[in-house]
Amino acid sequence: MSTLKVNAIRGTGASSDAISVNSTDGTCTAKITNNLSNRNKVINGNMQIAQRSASVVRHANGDPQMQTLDRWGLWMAATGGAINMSQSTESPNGFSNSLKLQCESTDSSIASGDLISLGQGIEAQNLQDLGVGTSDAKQITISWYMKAVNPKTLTLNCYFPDATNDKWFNKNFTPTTSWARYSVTLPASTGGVINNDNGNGFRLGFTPFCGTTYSQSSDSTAWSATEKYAVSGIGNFLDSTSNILYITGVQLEVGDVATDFEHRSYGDELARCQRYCQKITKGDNNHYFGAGYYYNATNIYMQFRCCPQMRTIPTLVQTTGSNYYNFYRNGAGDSFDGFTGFQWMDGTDNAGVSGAFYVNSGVSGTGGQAGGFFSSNDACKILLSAEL
Amino acid sequence: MTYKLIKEPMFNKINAVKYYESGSPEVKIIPFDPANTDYQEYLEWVAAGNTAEAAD
Repeated sequence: MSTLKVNAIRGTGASSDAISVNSTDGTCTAKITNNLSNRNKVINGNMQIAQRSASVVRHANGDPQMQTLDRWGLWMAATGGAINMSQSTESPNGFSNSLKLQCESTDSSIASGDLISLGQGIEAQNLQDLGVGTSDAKQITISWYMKAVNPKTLTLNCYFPDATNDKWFNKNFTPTTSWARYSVTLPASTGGVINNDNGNGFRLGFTPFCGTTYSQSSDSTAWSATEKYAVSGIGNFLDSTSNILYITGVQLEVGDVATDFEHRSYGDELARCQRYCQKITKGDNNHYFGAGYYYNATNIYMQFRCCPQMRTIPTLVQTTGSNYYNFYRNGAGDSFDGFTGFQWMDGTDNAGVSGAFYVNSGVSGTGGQAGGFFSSNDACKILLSAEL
Repeated sequence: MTYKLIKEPMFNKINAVKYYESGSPEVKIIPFDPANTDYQEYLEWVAAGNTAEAAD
């Protein structure tokens, strides 16, 4: 038996070591490119989970932050145009889905303050291993797959919301009409800040449309204190309804190497998403979705426990319409259009743990009677959102 | 878009705000939680000089 004694192993054509061996303590550091668990900080990077909806159209003057696929939001501050954001089965080999952006209606001129950004915020307390703001800050590598119809240059935009200096980083990429993988390694940020809390510690975004106010002149080579979301030279994604962009396989990891995409099970990915969104019912006509009781003659309450605990006290998102819902009790039903409000446990430990919805419009009954809540329309949707 | 305050009946306390857009069936009921991003957007809207409709 013999022992190989070396300080490092490096590929013949590589510029850095694949394995660095500590000369005294019997350990090593290796840049292994596959099969490592929990290295991808991005949730639903393979665009598989769509609790809210598989398709939604975002118009210029609507809700500024719109979500379809879990954890992915489309920020749109434009004077015109619309984008359809959907889950697509168009995907590279080894993936089943992608996120599809398509121009729904055009906006031929980009105003100075216009901005469209598809992105994901990452919870700050999940990023403490980046060492941001310390002398041990780590490099960050982001990788993704994309392809396009009518390809146009876009910007990968990254920032630390908690930081003042060392905050912004932008770099341009141009997709082609075929699937390809792209990556960038961001410099270690010794001057940035990521608070150790449940807020947004890092946002990565793709900017396909941006005015001059938020554009910088060239790709970043270091973190900047100036608020920018794009690099000049990107295209106008809203100049034709034929413009389509597909993205999937998004990964953010510590280090300077883009390792293989970390495929997690559907259940694992869904559970991660449920910290930020939990579906109670959606498109599920004629089914019970909860139990409740008449608190008094005009108020029905439904207790709810979140599993897992959500990031913060969530927003109740619901579709409302004539007699969309029913409360069945004592041999009869009370129909109603939607829940009126809620109560939530609060405080640091209890926020996002449990609560109760109530309805007090259009219903009347006997205090103390129990029953079941029932969806009575295919358009019914109730979900909880604690997104970043 | 419109915001309207909501008074919870059991404790008779305003604890949320409803967000809705004309013509859209989707309604958001937003808690008064500083960490909730919908509530943060509501506060920005108020800071811009807007006022929510009063609770019923």
